[in-house]
Amino acid sequence: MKLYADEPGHRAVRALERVVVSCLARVEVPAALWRKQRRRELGEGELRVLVAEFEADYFGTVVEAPRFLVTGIPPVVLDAAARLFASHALQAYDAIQLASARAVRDADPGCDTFACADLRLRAAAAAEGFEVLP
Amino acid sequence: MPQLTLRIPEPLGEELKSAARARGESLNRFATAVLRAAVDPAFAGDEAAVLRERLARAGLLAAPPRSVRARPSRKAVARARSAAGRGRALSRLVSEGRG
Repeated sequence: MKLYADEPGHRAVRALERVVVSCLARVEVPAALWRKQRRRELGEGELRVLVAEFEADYFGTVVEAPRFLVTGIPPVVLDAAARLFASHALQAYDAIQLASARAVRDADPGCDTFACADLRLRAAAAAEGFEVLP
Repeated sequence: MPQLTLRIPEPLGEELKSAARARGESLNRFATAVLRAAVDPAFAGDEAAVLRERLARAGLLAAPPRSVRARPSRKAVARARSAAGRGRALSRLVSEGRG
């Protein structure tokens, strides 16, 4: 989310060269932006700019490849997410995010940084051996 | 643009078609990228490409529908990011959306 809001820690997140996101982001990012607009904390024009920026990152543009590598949610990730509840107090979607990150790290051990702000998810990610940003 | 006809084993042809489909690319575009990578190091082996390949082989890579978007101006994005940085944090709104 810090790609789209000047919140504390945004510089560290924006400095990441490779960003892998779960396909859940396709829904969660616009949902959060719209929620902020409905709280009257974001103008409609700003909302549309940020949604467009996110979609350019997600889908790419005529001159740029997508910024994100997008992971799906195959059954193996759902199974791993279901098992995470035994060791971490997480919401269902949090568990999918963390299980996705673990699957990515299994595929590429260099992907060992997990960016999130939620305290419970941060603690769980750290316990799973991730470096947590910001 | 010249055309190139290749004789390749049938299973390889099917794998190429399948890989191109999974990436949402035409067979021609995918095969061109693969051939280019074979002869031009500038197109091969960058970190993002390696990671993409690893995720694809692990069955993790999703292929969002090809839907090219227009990126807003940097100035507009900077203004909107600044506005979005005020009030309740977006990450908190995500958490709330998760229940």
